[in-house]
Amino acid sequence: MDHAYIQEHQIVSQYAVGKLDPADCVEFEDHLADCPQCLDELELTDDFRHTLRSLESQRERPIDIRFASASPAVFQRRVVAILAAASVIVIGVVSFAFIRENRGTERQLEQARTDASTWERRYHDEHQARTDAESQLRETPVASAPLFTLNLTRSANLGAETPSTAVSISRQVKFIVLSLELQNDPDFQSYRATLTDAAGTNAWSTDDIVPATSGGLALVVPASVIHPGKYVLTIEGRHGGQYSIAGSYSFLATQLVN
Amino acid sequence: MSQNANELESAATLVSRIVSGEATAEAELVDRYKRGVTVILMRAAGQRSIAEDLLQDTFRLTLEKIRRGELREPERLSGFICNIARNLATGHFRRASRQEPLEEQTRLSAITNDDPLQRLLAAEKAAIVRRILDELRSPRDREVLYRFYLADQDKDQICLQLGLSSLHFNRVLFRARERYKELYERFLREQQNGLR
Repeated sequence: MDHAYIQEHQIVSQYAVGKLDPADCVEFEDHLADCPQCLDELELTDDFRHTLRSLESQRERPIDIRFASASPAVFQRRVVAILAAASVIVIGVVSFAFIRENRGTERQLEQARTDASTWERRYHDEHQARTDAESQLRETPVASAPLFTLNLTRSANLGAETPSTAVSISRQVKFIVLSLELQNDPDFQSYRATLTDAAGTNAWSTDDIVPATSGGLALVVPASVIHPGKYVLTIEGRHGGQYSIAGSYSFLATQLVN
Repeated sequence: MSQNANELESAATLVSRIVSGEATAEAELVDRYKRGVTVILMRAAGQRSIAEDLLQDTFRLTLEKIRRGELREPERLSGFICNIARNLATGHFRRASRQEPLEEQTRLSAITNDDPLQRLLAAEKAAIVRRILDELRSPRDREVLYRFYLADQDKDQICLQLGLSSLHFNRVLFRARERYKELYERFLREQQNGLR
């Protein structure tokens, strides 16, 4: 292991983050002790790493669930963060449904304006139903929406390869939450998600998504659009009216028997 | 680790001068290995005051052993010193673990520096790192730096998950470090010119 090897294999960086195995570590340290060049590089790497870390702590970058190697406690916190984000989206979806429903109700109320007692009763009923539903939703934010974590895939082409991620959906489920690792690029104002099946048919899409965390995205997808088979979820970022691909995620959907 | 022929000869010569009782050779040895051994001890000890104590002991023991002729392969001087340093650090923490938890020692050492110059340097370094991150065209390259330096992920794991080759990974790390060096050195030069 000489300088060429050390540089080629980023031994200094690996040592800086404690990723060298003990034997390599001893060997590298024996070299390091008498090598000003490696010492300079190590100092620089440590400096860069610490500055990056302090920048991140200043930004209070939310913890996300994309790091699969995290400790159970950290992973749990990340899952909670994602679930919280997912619950916000679920509430948003249901609120939207209520808004639409309200519009229909308003038309009916317009017609029934002459009958004050009917109006009042309907309004009261509607208001009560909405309050009850929202309260119910708050109590069970994503309990009925199973969460699946999707990994970034190299290609959006499904081909003959079986995706490594399986999404098993129960028939009783109305929505699922797809949690994605996504580095939030500040250049992108919002994102668009498109779900395509193996035949290339667009199964579902949504746009104007603004990630709740800088490293992850949680999407609530109606379970009814997903049938057994391969799917690719493509995330595109919008910058100045143009969309460019930010990530692709393939998965195999199966249906649970229950 | 292999070193070049000149370095081997130089280490062996230094040892023979110490064995023959040349006092300046002992000072040269300390001067030459002090920085590297400090880094190793700091990593092992996590606290400067402990590392400094262990550094003194390392050189005291090294010189005693060399004088007694216990270094049989003078060309392996560097490894010999490092072994002594590592053994001392291990011994220290074996004793300390019976007295005080390591976590507590490390926490106490993490006191922030209130020196205005240090704060200025820290702010400049932060600006440089921000600039480097902005200059990275691919979000994936940024992700590499975050995952490797902050999230404690292995290189292999990062390459697999992001679909990167080992070469690409190495290149991202190398370029970020070189750019950091370039910008930081430029800043220091500008500061020096400003002071003249």
